[in-house]
Amino acid sequence: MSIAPEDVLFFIADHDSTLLDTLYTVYEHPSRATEAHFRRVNSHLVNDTILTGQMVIITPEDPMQCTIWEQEMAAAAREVDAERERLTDKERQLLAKHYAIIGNAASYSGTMYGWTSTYFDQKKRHVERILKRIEELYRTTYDKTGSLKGEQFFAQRRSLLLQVDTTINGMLERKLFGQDIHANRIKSQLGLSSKSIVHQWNALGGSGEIKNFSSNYRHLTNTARTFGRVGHLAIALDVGSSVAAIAEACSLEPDSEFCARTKYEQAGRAIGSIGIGSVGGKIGAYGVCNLVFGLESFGTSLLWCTIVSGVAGGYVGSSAGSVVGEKLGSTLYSKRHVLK
Amino acid sequence: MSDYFYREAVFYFSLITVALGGLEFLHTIYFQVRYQKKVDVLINGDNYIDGGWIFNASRMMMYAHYCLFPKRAERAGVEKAIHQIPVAIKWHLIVHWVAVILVCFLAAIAYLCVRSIGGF
Repeated sequence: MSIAPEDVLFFIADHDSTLLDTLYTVYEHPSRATEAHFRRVNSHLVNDTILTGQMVIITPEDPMQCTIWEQEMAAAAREVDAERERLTDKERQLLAKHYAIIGNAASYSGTMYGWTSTYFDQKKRHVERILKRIEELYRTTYDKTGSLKGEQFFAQRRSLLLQVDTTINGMLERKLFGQDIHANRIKSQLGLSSKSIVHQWNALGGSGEIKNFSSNYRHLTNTARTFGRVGHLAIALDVGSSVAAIAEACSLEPDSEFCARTKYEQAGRAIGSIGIGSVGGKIGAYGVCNLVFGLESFGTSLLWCTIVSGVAGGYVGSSAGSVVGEKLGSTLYSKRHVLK
Repeated sequence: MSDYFYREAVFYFSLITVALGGLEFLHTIYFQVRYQKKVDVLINGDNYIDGGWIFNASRMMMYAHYCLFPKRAERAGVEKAIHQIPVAIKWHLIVHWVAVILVCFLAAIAYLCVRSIGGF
């Protein structure tokens, strides 16, 4: 299997736009050949419109011919369109905005392979490495000289900081096909609010992964749907299990003390589980994402962090709440019974 | 304190805790329906996305934190947006934040008490 070339890039549109706007944003002054090639490869974008959630393939400038990779990506883009039809508008938006993180999340559920490493993840690691080297420079200089001075120290520090600067800027203002794409222009025009919006096929798939793209995308759409509904689903399940327990008790022994007590216990269990579970979820997400990691209120990190820590906190709260709620229900029943 | 009074105290304490948890839950629904989108747009601009119950609830706590600790809001670059939030909404956020922290502590204590006596 061949490895995808470096310049195979695509993005998932996170808002509706026209094809021409995007074309001029990416290429600034595209030649006729560039435009014709872009349109041919992106033939799934009908009526000159790009809709939220659609895949847009960024082709090289002035190409000589359509490569096999481009043909395969075009086929994948059509598969994406078919999957996209299954989503509601809200879900499409969620998937498009949080494409990278949902990809990561889906990979954790064991359904995806080779998707976790994105271009920006690699860059981030590079920045971390340079920052470590800066820290090392500070430490060794201080150990040797007892201060943070000297021409050599400043020169080395300048060089390392320059590397950080170049790498960070490169994340947005990267070179595409030998041409600089200005960060602000591409950011505002394409709506690049999150960092990982332009994806490099090679970094995502490694070799021979294009065949798996459509099935991977299907997992992504399912994960996106789950994200929006997971909280409501948990609440519905809680209420549902209580109703089922009451129904079971009352169909076994209708009009009995057992049936009446179960009603109290299960109602208490559901209220305790939902009320305290909700608090547990919030505390979990708040404590981990805000207090420990200090994440911003937008971006993909918060979504991912919230899902993990919020669900964990919610589970703990819900377990404790259901124990307390059930006991409360049982005691309330006993008190009422004694009063009668 | 006799065992009977201790059990009664734990019972009423737990009852109040669960009731507060329920009220807090209802308040979250009210806020999410009435104000969530407005605040999200104010703070995140076109980054607004309805990510479901857990995500929205997590953001509520974060916004309240920004209201209570302006330095954190400044670090996140949202201090201007926080100033623009109407006072009534700010109060909702702060009350919510206090209620969540309070109910969390009360629930932990209630759970331990209930476990220690094995019921009421």
